[in-house]
Amino acid sequence: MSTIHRIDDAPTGALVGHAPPRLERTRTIQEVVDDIGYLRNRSELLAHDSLDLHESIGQLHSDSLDEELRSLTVRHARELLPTLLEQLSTLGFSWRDIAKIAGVSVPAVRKWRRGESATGDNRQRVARIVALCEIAAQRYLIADVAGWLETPLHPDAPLTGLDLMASERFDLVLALAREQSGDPERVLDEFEPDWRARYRSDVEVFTAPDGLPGLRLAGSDS
Amino acid sequence: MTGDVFDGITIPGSSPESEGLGIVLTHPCSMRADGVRLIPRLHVASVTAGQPIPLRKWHDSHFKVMPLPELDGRHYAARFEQMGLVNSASLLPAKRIACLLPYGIHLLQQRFIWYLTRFLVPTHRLAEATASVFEEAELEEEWVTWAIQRGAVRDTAAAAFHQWVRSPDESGTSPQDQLADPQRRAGVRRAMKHHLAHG
Repeated sequence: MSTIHRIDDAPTGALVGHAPPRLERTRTIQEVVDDIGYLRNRSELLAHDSLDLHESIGQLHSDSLDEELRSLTVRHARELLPTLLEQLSTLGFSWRDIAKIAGVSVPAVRKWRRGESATGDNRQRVARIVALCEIAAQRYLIADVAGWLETPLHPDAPLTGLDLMASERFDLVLALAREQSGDPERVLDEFEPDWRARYRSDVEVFTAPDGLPGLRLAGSDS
Repeated sequence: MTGDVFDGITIPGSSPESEGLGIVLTHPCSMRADGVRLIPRLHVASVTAGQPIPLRKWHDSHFKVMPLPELDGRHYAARFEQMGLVNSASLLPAKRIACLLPYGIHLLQQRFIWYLTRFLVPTHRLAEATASVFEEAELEEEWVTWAIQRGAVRDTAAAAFHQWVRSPDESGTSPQDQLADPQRRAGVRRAMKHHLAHG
């Protein structure tokens, strides 16, 4: 008697996944538009969230830099004032610019260099200049900090980083250091909103025939 | 320098022609013949005491004067109608009682140009045109002070400075040329400091 082997009805692996496709109703153009519109709204919300996050982190970065500046200022304020002034001079700062940023006269700086005492506030001001230079050089690799601060921020305005510092806007100078390849107009807009109109002029500087600078109406040759 | 105020000088042509205060008007580019020695005579305006001129009035009136508030504790003004040529040898450092900051010099120049021509030049353009000159003057003062403290004579020290500031480096540009570029001024100051320290 022959043995009859019963063949199992379970599908073999070759059958798995070969279920007949489910038929779907053809979607109308209105439904497609609704779906895409929904996706667009979702992506817009994500973009806003991302921007908010970027701004929050930017503000946090700015606040932490301000804190670093404060901390370094406190540390440098413990040094002797002539030592701080010598550091700035070695970087290439002029005494006139140091006096301008510190909010004192050039003779006052001269007295400090000779070792005469300064108020605590003035010592802090000088220490803050040194601290900012340290951050710019070490964190942002600006090789010539004094030259960088002295260079006009925009061809249409005479404002420099030194002017920002003299107006106590060290935060804007740090922002410039952070975004060296960025657009300085944003910083200028915050510092002096009417700078475009204020510094617009028909007068230009040119090199006169004797080799010295002169002034003339812009666009004129004589 | 332009804007320096001297006491005890007589300005020929002013009225009354007696000793008093005067302010130098000559442009910094025009006051030295060879970069070292002052030209024989400089334009100087009389400075006299008077009533204070409120700041809001500076831009629309008082065009014949340059207000000098609280100079020596009182209110003075430089009078463009009372000016003349003064022997530069009489403008001794000991007679200098005040000097203007660069912005003050630009205001003086702006008002003087307006007085002479009725042409309004923005102060920031005057600053741009004179910046390198002021830089050089400050460096010279630094150099000369350093040299005098080591026993040098003022004129000799000034001559040495002018030789250095006009000497081209290996790139063919002198420190004086480099001072015209704001980006390079800090480098010139560093170079001078190095030169004084190491020769």
